[in-house]
Amino acid sequence: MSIQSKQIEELVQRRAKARLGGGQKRIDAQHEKGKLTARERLALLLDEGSFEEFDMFVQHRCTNFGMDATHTDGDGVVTGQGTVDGRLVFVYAQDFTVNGGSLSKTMSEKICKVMDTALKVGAPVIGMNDSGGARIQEGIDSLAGYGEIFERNILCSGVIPQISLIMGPCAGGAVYSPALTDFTLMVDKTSYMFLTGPAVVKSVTGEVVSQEELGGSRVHASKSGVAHFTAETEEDAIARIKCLLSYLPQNNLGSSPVRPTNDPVSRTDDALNSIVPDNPNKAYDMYAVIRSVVDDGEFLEIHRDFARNIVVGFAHVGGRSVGVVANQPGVLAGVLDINASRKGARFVRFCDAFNIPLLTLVDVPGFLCGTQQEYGGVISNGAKLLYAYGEATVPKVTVTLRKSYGGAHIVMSCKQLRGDINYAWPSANIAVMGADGAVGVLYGKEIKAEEDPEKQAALIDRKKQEYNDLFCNPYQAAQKGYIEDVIEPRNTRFRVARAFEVLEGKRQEIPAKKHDNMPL
Amino acid sequence: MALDDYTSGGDEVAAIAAALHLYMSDSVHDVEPGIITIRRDIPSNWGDKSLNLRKKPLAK
Repeated sequence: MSIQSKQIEELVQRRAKARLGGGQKRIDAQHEKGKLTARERLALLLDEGSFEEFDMFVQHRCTNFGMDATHTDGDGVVTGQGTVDGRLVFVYAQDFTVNGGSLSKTMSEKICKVMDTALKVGAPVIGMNDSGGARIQEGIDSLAGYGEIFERNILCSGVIPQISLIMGPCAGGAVYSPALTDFTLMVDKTSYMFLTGPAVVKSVTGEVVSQEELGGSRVHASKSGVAHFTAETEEDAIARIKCLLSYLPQNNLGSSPVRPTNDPVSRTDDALNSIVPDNPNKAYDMYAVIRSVVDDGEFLEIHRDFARNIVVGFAHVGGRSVGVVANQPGVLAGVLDINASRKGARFVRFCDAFNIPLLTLVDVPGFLCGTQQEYGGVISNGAKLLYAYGEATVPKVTVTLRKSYGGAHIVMSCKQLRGDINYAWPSANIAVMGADGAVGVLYGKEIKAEEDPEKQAALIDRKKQEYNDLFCNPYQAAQKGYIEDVIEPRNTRFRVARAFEVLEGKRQEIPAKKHDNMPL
Repeated sequence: MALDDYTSGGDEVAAIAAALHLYMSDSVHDVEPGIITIRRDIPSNWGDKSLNLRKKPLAK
């Protein structure tokens, strides 16, 4: 055997060893927990044969606590590049079989290299988190590693899409990397995220809580909003992320992939002509409206279980990606509150950063009132959504279906927030407030002065009718040019599609500034 | 012949009545052309995405 042949054989052997990570025993243990290994996850995500690994032979440099005697090639993270449906992506997957996936300085250097390269070439980064946290043996080096990853998360934000999959533990400082990325998906039962675990919580506050209750996928998907998606299995999780990617551009100078459709933009839907109930206090399903307007009825919802009074997600109209924001009359009457405002604002800002046009479907009775909301900062949280719409320069098409009252009307992409094309259905009520509240304010004294209950009720009804006739329609707004047109509901898909086509070449500037100071 | 001879229940009658109603009331629709005449194949740099990026303040 020649020297070169021996060298090649050594390379092959080294690769095979590195691919085993922490060894077969630990791989088996990972499988027993219902989890895949880092390499198996990447194989599911990436197109077959597309993965090229970086830094396979990197080893840690720690000598503390006997660490100099334990080295594993790759040091607990698999990094590299590949393609998803032919599109270049950069990936890292923490390997729990090596030191529990704990983060060393060298592991962070590997992750940072992937992120730096992704930023150089303008391609998304997908991170798979499965780590016990900082590698304590490395002390401050491990924390420095986290800091370097976070800094890159920040620099990449708004430039390339960043997606985090939580497929195991993610605790302590480690949680901030997913929190800084655009989308976080958690796998049910096997993943959790929290700053301090149940044991510390018990010792500090006395509260007894399980891992699942403290930071499981359901908690973060429905209560905190930290998780945008959940999945029952890792396979489902990866399929969901592939679907998400299909709506996104490669970077902030790109356009989303066009998806051809056989669903004609001319398709009318008579069901929309009768979807709004005659009783203004009765709900209807906003999902039915969304499915009717978008291509093939397909809608990828973000934050499905969090702040369900507002619906956000991606769809296609005329083959192009759009971000949909819609009030949901079926939950809390579609009112805006703290969480709905946060959810909506985050989504609007993502779409704006990545050139994804916004379709806003409005049926909002106002902001939720009460001490809980005021003490929680509904003013500054509501301002986030207002701010997000106001600064967004992507095409913005808005359709008001029914109620659009007061401050909430302004927030939901009104004309004055540089809404590009605003339509309303004939059922729209665009006003300062509904008739019940307005009559109380305008005719309070008059109503109080009427002592006969029957006459008082008749007076209220009469005044409400007067108010409704005057304000509770879309024509006041149309007369003043605050909406472009009143459209028949069944034609909504066509009008929205044409509006986005008109706005395809939109360009709009905001004043020069270092950065804005949005209310956080 | 009575319609009942052909149908087993009221559902079919209701569906036919609804369809007739929709057909008869068709004239009240606000008819749209259903065709987008804007061509996608005319190149222009007008909407270049880089033009929408935030500009840096200029120092005097």
